[in-house]
Amino acid sequence: MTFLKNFVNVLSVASISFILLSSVFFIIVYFNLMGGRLKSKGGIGFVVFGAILVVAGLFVRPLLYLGVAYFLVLWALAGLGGRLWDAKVGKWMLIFGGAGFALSLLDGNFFLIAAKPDNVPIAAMIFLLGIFTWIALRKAYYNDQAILAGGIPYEKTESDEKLFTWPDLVYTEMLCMIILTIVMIVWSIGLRAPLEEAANPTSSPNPAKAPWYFLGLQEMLVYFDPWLAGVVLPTLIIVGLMAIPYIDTNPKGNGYYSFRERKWEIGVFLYGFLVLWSFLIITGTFLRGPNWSFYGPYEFWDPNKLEPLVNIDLSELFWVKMLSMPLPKLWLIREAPGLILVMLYLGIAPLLAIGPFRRFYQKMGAARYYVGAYLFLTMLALPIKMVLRWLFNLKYLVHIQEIFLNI
Amino acid sequence: MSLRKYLNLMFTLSLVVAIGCGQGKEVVDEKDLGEDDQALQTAAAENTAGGTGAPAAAATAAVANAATVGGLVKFEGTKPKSPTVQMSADPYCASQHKDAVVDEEVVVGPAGELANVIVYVKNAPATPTPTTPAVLDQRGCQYIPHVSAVQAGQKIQIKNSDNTLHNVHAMPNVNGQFNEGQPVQGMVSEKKFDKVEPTPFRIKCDVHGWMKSYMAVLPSSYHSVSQANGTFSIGNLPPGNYTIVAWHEKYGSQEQQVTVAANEQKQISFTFKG
Amino acid sequence: MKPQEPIPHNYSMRTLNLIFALTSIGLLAVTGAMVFYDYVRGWKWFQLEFNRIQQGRIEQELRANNDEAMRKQLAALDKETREGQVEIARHRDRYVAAQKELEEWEGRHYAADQDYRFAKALLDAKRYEVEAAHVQHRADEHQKQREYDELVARLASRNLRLQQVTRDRDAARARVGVFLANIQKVEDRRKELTAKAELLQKQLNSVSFPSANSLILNAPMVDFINPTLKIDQVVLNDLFIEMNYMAVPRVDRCQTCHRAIDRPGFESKKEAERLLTELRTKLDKNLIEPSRRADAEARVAELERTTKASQDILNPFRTHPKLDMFVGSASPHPLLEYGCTACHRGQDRATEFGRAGHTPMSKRMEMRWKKVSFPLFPRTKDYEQRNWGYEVNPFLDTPMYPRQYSEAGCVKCHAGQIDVEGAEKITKATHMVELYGCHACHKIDNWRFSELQKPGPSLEGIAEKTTPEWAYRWIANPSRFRPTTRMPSFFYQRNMVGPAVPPAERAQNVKYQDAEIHSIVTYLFKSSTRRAWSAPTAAGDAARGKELVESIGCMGCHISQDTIKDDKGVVRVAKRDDFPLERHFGFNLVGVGTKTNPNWVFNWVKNPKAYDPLAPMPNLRLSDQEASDITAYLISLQKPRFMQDPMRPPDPKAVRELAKGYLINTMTDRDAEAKLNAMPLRAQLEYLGQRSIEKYGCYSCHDIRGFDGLKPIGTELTIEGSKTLHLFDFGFFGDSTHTHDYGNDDGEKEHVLHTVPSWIYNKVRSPRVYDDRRAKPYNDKLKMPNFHLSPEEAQLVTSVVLGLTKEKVAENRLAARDPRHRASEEGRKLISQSNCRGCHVVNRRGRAIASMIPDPNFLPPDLTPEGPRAQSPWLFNFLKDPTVMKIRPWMRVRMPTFQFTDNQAATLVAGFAAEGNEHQFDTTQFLTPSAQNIAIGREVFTMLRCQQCHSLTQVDPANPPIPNIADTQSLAPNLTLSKIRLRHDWIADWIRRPDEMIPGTRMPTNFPRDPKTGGFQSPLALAMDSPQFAAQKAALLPYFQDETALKKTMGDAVALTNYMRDYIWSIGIDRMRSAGAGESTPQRVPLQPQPTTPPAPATQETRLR
Repeated sequence: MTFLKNFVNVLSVASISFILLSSVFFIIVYFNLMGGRLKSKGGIGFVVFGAILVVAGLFVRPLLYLGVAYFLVLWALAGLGGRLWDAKVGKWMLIFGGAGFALSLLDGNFFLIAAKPDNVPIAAMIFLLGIFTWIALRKAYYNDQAILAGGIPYEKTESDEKLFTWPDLVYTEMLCMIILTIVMIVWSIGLRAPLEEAANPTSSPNPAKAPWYFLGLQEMLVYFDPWLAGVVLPTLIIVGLMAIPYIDTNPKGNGYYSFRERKWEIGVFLYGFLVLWSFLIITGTFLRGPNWSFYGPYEFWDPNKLEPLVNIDLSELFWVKMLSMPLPKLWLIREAPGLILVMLYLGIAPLLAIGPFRRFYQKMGAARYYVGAYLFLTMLALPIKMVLRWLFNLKYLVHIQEIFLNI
Repeated sequence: MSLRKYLNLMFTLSLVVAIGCGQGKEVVDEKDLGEDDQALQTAAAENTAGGTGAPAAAATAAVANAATVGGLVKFEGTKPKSPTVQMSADPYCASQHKDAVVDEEVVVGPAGELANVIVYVKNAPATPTPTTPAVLDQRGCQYIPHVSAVQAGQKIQIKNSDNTLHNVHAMPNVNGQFNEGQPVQGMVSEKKFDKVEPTPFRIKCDVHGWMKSYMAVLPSSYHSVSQANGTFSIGNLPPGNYTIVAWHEKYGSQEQQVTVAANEQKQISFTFKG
Repeated sequence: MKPQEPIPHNYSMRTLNLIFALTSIGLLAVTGAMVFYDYVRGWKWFQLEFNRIQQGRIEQELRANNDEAMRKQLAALDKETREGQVEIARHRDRYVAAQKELEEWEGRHYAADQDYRFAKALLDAKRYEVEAAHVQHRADEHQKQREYDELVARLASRNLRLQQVTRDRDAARARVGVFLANIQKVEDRRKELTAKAELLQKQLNSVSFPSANSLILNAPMVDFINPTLKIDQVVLNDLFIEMNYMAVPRVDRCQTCHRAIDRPGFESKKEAERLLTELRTKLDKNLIEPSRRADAEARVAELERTTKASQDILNPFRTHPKLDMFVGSASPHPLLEYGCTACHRGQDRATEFGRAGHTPMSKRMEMRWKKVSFPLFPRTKDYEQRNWGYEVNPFLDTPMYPRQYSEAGCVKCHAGQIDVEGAEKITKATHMVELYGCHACHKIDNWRFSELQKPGPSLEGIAEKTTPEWAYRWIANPSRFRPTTRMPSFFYQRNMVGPAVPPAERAQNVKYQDAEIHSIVTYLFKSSTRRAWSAPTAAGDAARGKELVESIGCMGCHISQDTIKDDKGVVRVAKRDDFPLERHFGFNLVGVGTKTNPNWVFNWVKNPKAYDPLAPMPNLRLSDQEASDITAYLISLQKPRFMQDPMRPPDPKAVRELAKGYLINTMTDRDAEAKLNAMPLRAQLEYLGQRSIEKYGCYSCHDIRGFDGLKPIGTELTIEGSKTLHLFDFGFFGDSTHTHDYGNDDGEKEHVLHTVPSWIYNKVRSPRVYDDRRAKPYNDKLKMPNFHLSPEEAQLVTSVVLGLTKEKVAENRLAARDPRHRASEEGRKLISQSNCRGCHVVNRRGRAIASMIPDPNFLPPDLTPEGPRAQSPWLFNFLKDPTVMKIRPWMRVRMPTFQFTDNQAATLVAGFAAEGNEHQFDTTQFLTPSAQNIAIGREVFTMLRCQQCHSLTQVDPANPPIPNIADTQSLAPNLTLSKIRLRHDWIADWIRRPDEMIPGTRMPTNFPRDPKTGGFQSPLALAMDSPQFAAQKAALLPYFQDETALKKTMGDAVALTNYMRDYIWSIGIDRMRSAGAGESTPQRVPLQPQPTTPPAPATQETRLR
């Protein structure tokens, strides 16, 4: 039991869980949506990646855990293939998930965190998120199968039939409304809608947490300069979401679920939403304890726990560590490596435009393409920065106090 | 509401007990008693009167076939040499005594009878407060009696028969203490102690350091003080089991269990070792 | 046209309707639940419950009131009424006629009255018009004026008419009244009889439930209008509560549930019994003035009822246990002005158990509180069991003080006082903090704890009085040498050598600790002065010395025993709280012979200030012989076994490591090594010693050379009580996985609740406990030393710390802030700093020495009435030099010479005067009473035989003859010393009521109080005629016009005492030696200023180098 708890604790460490989650995402995309096979070239790639993890694990214990978990998932999902979308499988997944959660509640520390009135909705959200994503993808999968078999998506088949707005639509909507109201009231009474004492600036609780929907941003602060994580990225997120309809011109999948016909659109969105955004919220809610240090789900939130803070800037990495020479006085030179890297990163977009993504470029046209590409790049910047942090304790790529520019 | 129930229970219980005790004594007229009873009573009256000036029997209601506990207080061992009191501080006092005055702390008779011992019934039934006051006289710069017992609430007349200043400084522990000057010869001040205080407390005169008296405040009138011949007698006692306590200012207190039957004249004796 | 074929529905309408029906019912239900949940509040239940209790009581009273007698009387009244009616019936016609007439007149009167009113109204209106017209110079001014005058005339006539009509009406009334007179009387009597019952009935209606109006008024949705169950609150405008940098007035809502808090009659049985005994004794000693006696007796009856009541009152319905002090409207802290949270703390506005900040006082209590049958709605059952479903609320800024710390609340306003009247706990606690010197290491920035002398002796001459061997063993374990010592244990504590510490580390720690002790000793002896003290001049006799020490007053400040026989007669090691605090002022004499040497002792006892000008020990003016005897005795107090305790030599490696640890803070590793190599071990020790003294803060309690002006090392405690929970480091006691029980260093079980009070308590109880299960580097471990406080002591200290909050109160709420009180408090502070209470009683407290002196008559005087008693010039003189007057020459106990500076003496004098509410100086000492008064006084004096104890022969105050009579007991001060020493008015007052001023005094009461009236009685009133006073009577008569006048005066205690005062005044001497003459004031060595003494005195004092 304790071993299992330890196993989960280790897995839930931000870096590991992030890698695991991302790989799960790609595994699902490859094996369960695109119908990939382990035998195939891509399949081997996944195995090889796992193998690398395990080998690395021989030196870094946590990675071993990761490797094991990875192979379990790989084996399970690849084995299931399309059957992942069977109703029965879904039911069992739900049951297992719920059972796991229920069992975990038996653990005192887990209970403290999960049963905190503020966190209950988020715990629920995890499940809802899973369920709805599963349902959506399920429909998409079957439609794809149908289309592959030369048929038409299910929605089309029924779209000829007509129904009255009243009662078929409005009535049911109203019922939902009523039921939701009931749930809300019962809930708020049941949890004694957690209002606390009058706010007191002199004594801030530890940890001081943002409302759950902002915890993603708060988590970003760990990896980015406040100015970026707090201002630029949120703005871009909103702008990006608004921009989607103008960027996405793919006529396919209108009014019906489909993945194969819009793998990029859906893939990118789901990755951004599930793996980047929701993951951060969940981490921030359940796994960030006092002093914003990291705690496994079965760990006691001990305020005495400390995490080593040995983050360094790229400039130090480059000049001091590699060239072993003092930092140049002039910031332009000092930050040159960082700046260059960033330039390169931004330069990727045009390169891709003439390179592999030529098709997109032609299809979308310059404006759409660049807007989309840069939004995409910014989105990717997050995981990249996270990985860099975990690998090299990298604080900032570019760190110019002189003009308050930190990237 | 277990607590409430419990308290009710306690209350009723205590009531029952109270009633039970109440049935102990029933009041009868003097004349209904047999002669010997009356004789007994008067005897007791005299005895106790000698001791405290409070005729207990007279005060308390007569009791059907009452018993008497009487006896002797003896002293064993070499009888201590009582020091003579130095009264030269106040010429008047000195003038009151022809021969030297001996200290009254330990008064032992020729056959070793010990006087000034308070004897009382510890677990005696309550008796009505005596109407006749106890008297504490100051004569020849000495307290008379030297030790005494009164019942709680009983009036005490403190008298100064000397033509000199006495101040009566009573130092009880339970009751409130007082210290009153009596400059006038023959003046009497009346006091009373409301709370029971069985261990006798000291009454002294700050003017004449040698003057002291001891007084016990008891719940009942079943008490007596041994006289010069060492005898004491507690009369009018309803039959039953009692603990008799004897207290001496120097030799402390002793206890004895006695069982008295109806009309019995119990003889017991206390012995204090020097 | 053909009908459109029906389009099928996606769902069956029946199911949808069904669902709709069900869900809407559900919605209704939950809405109801919502309202209900909002409506049902704990406090409402309490109010109902309390009403129920009251209802019971009132009904009982009603029943008692409506007894047989009452019913009889009422019946009688009915009868009378009937008779009256019969009477009327007999002259029916006349009655009717009169009645009719009256009605007419009433009608007329009504009309007339109305006319009058209208006229008046018109007039008033017109007046304005006139004025307006006049001011605006309007044309119609004169006309208006005319109209006005008419109206005036009209009003006058109307008024006249009204008066006439009224007169006639009244006449008519009278005529009717004749008939009704009897009935009227009866009715009035009936009213009187039933008045009480009606009142009770009213009360009953207000509390009875369920009753129609209560149900309606409290119905949900309606209950905003005028509910009978409502939140009670008091707004406290000048007692503030901290809300985010802003002090807002408190709004206490505690009485919403604590209904009876200010209502007598709801005490718990235990409380009731306590109060009963208190009140009874007050009545016995007639301390209650006659006017209040009746109420007091009524209260006694009530309390008796409470004690006999069938069921005990539980909280929150209990009356405040100290109504005379708090909450009661007559008390100094009435509810409407002070509320509850000002003292108890807690969330003033909260009306919910947990939110209000109730804090459990023990583990058991917490358990009970936490219980609840169903967390959403605590049920009646829970309330009845006093289970609150309580959960710790870490967000609360001001949780309530647990019950055992309730007196902590006093500090906020009373920090300007030494003794807080009626708060014995906190008074003792602050005294303890002062004595144990918490303030020395922890800065406490308020009047009470600032400018106090250092708690420990000066170590600047340590080499002169003891040896390094002793010092080492002492520092290593002080309580082993003196179990009662105030010196705490710094070394070998639980976080160094405790069972929790792993063996390897433990061994290492021991080495380090040895090294530190050695180094400290080395430094102290290096920095110490080495003056040579002369040997005792005479051969001392230990026996005589012992007798002296026990009789001349040393025992007021010292103890000389380390074992004690407890009440079971078993001899055990003495604990500090076996003795009064005052006797810990000086050290325990046990083993002093082992500690020090004859020469030093001799000179020390002869004149402590010679060794250390700031030594708290006063000079007892010992003769050389006495000093030698005492020296002999003290040296004979040996503790040889102590010196056999092992004294491990310092481990060079350990010393080096520690020293290096300090060095590398300022230099590199290599430099440090080099420096250490250059140092011999001794030098290393000295260096380490200095650092260690800094580390442990020895200098904050002791004067040590080379540490002047360093800040005290402890955390400042000025607002410690306001720190919120999350700022306290519970170590591993905060977490859910480890136990919160632990065995403390003295082997008792303790428990850490997750509350601030519990944290502080356990911190002072076993200071290093929060290091348990933690692995810290040696120098980071907790350093607070262990005072071995008993649980009681620990609680007291905790209550002080808790009381030190940042909560503000308005100026006018601060206690003792007017000049008079300030003066008395300054005096008290000095009294406490000089430990006067070791020997004297000061305002009913002190005289620790009493246990050593069997006869109360040989005790030092009670200074409670010193203010009204002593004349300031005399007192000043006497304080400076007690040898100027021996009031009771036969006393063995000596008033020592404190060598007060003029300022200090003045402070004391002013303090006493202020405390006695007297002016410091008066002119009465220059009065010369009239010859007649003196003569009368003399006679009364002789009649009361005062001279029997008081000598009247004039003597030299400095050394009066010691009366050589067999027993010196029968003596009293020489009255010729009174005029120069006593205040004029006090003398008379004292003669009147000595026992009330100083309970247990030997001065007899000559004018006993009349228990009924409480007035004085005079024995002479009657005795006047007795033959023995014939002479005096003859002598007195000429001064009065006749015998009755004489008798009258003789019965008047006040007059008599005034005469006696005048007589005493007339015989008094009025000259005496002034202080400072002779060798009593020491020749001061040149000194330099010293930080810890109050600035004013310090100006003349300088420090030894």
